[in-house]
Amino acid sequence: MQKQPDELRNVKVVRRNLVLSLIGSIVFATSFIIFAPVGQKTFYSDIIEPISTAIAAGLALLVVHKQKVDGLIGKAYFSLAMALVLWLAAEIIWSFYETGLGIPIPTPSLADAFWLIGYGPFMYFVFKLYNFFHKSTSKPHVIVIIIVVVIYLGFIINTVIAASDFSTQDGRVKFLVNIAYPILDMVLIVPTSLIILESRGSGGDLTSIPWVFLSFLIITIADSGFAYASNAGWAEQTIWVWNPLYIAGYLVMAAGLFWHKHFFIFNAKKVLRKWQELNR
Amino acid sequence: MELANFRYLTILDELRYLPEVSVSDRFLVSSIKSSLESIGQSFSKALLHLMCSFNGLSENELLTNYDLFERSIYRILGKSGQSILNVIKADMLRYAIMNGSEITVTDILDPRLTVSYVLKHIHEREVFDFVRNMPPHEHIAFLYTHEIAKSNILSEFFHRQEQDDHQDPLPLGLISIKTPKLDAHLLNISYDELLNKTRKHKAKESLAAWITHVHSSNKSQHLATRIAEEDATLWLKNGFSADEDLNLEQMFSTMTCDHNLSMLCAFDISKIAESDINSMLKSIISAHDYVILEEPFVVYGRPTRRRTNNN
Repeated sequence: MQKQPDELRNVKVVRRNLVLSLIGSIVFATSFIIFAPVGQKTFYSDIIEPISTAIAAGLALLVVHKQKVDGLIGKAYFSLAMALVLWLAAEIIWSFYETGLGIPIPTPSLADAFWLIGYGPFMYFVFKLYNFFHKSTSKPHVIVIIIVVVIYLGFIINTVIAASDFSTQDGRVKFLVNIAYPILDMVLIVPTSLIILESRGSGGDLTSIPWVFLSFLIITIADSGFAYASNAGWAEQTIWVWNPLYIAGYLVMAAGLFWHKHFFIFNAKKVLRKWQELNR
Repeated sequence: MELANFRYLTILDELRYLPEVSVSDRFLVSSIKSSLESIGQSFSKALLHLMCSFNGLSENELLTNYDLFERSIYRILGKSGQSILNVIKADMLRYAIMNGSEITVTDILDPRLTVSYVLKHIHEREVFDFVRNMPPHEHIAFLYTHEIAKSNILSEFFHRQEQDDHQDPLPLGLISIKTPKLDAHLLNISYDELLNKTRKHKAKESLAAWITHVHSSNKSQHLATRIAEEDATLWLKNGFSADEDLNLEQMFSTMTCDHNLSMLCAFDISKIAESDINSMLKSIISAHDYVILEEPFVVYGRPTRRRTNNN
């Protein structure tokens, strides 16, 4: 029974260190973009965004490698890894066009295809976890979330419509593609927020769901902002402001994956080593 | 009650008595493991490792203590852990029904029904079966504080055994607090009758003679005469010293060894003075091969039991 406080302290220490590292990483990564000369902000964004996505995708693949794909959790994390790999491909294509080739990216682009396809495995991940982890769907929670989602989407769609040019075919397609992101983000937000709302006050300090939720939330804000900025025709010099949010979203996702890897991947060698140290 | 149980468990631990591994505990362990493994092998191993680390327990210790397991899973997964617990609840309910539990359909349909409640029923049924099917030559103590628990245990102990070799019912004897109105096959002697003897050794001799008399009508080769004491603390309350009481218990042990009989000594431990309880419990427990506790019903056994004449 002597071990209990140590183990609990360990959780708190890991959480504190992870939060501090995450904040440090976000500040460090985004400061390159924020403090870069206006003309180089896009360049830095195109380097740092794929790197932060690669960190999240790499951790997801590591989780899949260690955890395998058996059982509900195995399958769910495999789909999460697939989603992140697709988004990494999208980020690389975007950066390659924008910085590598110096070509303005059309909407829709090949990168959009990867991003939009990536929502499929993300949905599998969140709904699989929602089906397993939600105890019972509380009507007040569902009503509250639906009201919030409807208000948010209503506001975003209205704002983007007001900023869009529907006189051309390209403008209409651009609107549809850009508005698809916040709508699909909301599809991810609903189940994750329901899991969190329904688990409120019941402990569960070790699940990675809050990290995933926070990541989706940040990406939703970024997607909404980008949809407005893109349709409103913001200049390259100003549209970069949404990029730090994407970086933060990917890094939060990476932190969630690290959390899962740290606590929910069984490492027999590590356990044996610890046991040997304790019994030396 | 928890404090009292902790005291008994400490004494049982000191005397190296171990809980008898029940079939339901093994079933519980396998149910927990399979429900965890359904969400992923690696995840379930990590989850178990975390729970064991938090509680400083081995996997077996954690998985045979359902309440602790439930608390641990809530601590790690929050209410999300409920899905895992629901699978275990369904398994344990199925097990309880298949094993003659008295859980009703109303109970099953009640969402407030907990796994702990189901397990309590299962353990109770297992202990009742243990008492009912007790083999010959056993000398068992039952520590109780509730009359209803005593009545249930005695009722199972005196449950009529199936006899294959002759028609006469097996002899059953009860050393009772009062002279009860019982059926013709249950011979009875009250503590008052025994304690009326002016000398203690006379009381002991009378008791030995009565047991021999009860056993004399047993013609069975396989089934044992069954004798129970309703409240063995009455010896102590009526002037027997701890040594004399222990001497009496040793006499019972010898008789159960030498003859085809089994004895169940019930002790109303609520009647033992607080100052004496530790030493008394040690003395009571060490004189028996098995000890049954109530709330929850659990059987503890001595790892090395006595050698009987049959061995």
